[in-house]
Amino acid sequence: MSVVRPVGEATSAPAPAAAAGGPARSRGRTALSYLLHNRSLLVGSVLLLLVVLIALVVPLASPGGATAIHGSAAMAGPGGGHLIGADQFGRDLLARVAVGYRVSLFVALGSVLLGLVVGVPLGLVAATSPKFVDGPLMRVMDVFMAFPLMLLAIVVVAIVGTGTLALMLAIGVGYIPVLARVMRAQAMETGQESFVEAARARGASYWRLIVRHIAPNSMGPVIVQATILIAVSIILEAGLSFVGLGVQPPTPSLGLMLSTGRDFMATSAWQVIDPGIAILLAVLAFTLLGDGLQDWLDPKRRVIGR
Amino acid sequence: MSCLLEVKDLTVRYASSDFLAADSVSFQVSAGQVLGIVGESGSGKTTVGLAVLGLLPATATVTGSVLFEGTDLIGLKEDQLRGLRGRQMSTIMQNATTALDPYFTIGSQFAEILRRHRKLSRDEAREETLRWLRAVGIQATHRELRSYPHEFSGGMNQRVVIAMNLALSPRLIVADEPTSALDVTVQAEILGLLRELRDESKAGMVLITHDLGVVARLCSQVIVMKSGEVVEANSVTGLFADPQHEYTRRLLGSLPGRSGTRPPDESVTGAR
Repeated sequence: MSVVRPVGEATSAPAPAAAAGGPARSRGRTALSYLLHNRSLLVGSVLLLLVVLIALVVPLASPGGATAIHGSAAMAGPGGGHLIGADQFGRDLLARVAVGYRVSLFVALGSVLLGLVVGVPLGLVAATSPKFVDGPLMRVMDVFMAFPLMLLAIVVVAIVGTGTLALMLAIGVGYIPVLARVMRAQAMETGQESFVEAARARGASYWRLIVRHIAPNSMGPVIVQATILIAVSIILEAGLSFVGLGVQPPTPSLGLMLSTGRDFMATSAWQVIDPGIAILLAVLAFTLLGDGLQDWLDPKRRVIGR
Repeated sequence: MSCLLEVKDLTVRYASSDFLAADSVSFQVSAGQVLGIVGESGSGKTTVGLAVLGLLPATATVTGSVLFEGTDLIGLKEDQLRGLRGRQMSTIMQNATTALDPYFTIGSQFAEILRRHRKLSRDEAREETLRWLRAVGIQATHRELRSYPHEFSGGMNQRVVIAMNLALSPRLIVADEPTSALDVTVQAEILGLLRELRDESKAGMVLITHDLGVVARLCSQVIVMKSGEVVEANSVTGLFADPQHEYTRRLLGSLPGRSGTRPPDESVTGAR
């Protein structure tokens, strides 16, 4: 019971769309072939895979390896029984880096998650609320943003103490205003789009507009920002642990390894080189990933590719 | 003929402006009838359309009444309006590509509307979507359903939007410049679709446009707006045969091919 008949033959095929780089081609592209075009995403994911693999597999392969003392191997160089060397107590550096990665990633993901869970809803509400809600909310965020992340983290550590969970909280608190701001700016822009008005005109509710239309169309920059903040977290965690405010021994941490390794730099440089490279790899992985995601998350740019 | 929509003395003022965006605008639309609102940019025609849908920004001050089947929409709460939007009244916007959510596929957003407004199951909604897309001349398969709006042309997206309107079968449709963003050949096809929409759905339609050609082909009644005021209300035949207002005459005179003798410096806006 078709109410309207097809109009003319000009409408028979989606020819205009095909000319515009159309559906057929974009669907032909597999995820893999896209990945090959997006270098940042490719290199970032490979590095991340490496980091995660080290973090997951190495401690499983040699349980307790990170703290086991082998006097004979003290300050051993790379090769032999210890792939990337051993520290002054003969503890395997690879095993320590791996556990350090676990702590690092745990803290980094936790802190960014905290920032997202609190910051994103705040940003969305601020963007869609009248001035008397938006204004005060964002001024509070501004106050938090006025403090450097490290300083804010030190304050939180001073209040709640050291340890992995405390670190997560300490770093994550600083991310709330950052992510709320990005979300708000993006959501305000999306809110002006005519598809939002069209959805409203079709009877979508306030929350439906936010959750279904505004949020997904605003998440791109937020996800990119969050990915880069993971990299920032890794550096912050290493920094805080370096000065003794983060992870406490005997738990290995990349920052802690750097800190104790300093004393042996002249005789056993691997103790600082290894954790240094480890931090570099992880930070690079997330930074590149953030860059690559920026392109990937935009459906328009994804089709056109590069 | 029963009166579907009756707008009486609608006056709108935006907070940012000293001028009235709409000044005592009155008109009526019956079911199955298309009312054209014509006028130049800034004449207030879009404002009237938004007021009818209750979509004016909170900064606008509105007086007068917009009676939709006897209910005054002015002063109605947002959630009461929401109950009307969709199944009772809907809209077709100028740029269909931006009127569709770029983040979701055509199929998913179309089906979602059907599931929400008509409580269809996932599978039923998908079949309905296909059926309606085919009804507006898109050779839709499951492949097309997985396309994103930016992969469709503007004309195809406008078809999708019209199909959504058909599927919801609202009593009143406000179409704001539905063909202006399209090129001429596609315009003709979309006009044809709108005409069928008018004939088959029995919905009342408010068609906002600056294009008198569109008015001639779709509308039965026309109001001409200028600076927020209605300067002429006429039937389409009357408007073209015997325009009452000087401004309307000049508007008609501005159509290419109608009056080749028009001096180049005589602008439409200059009319008082």
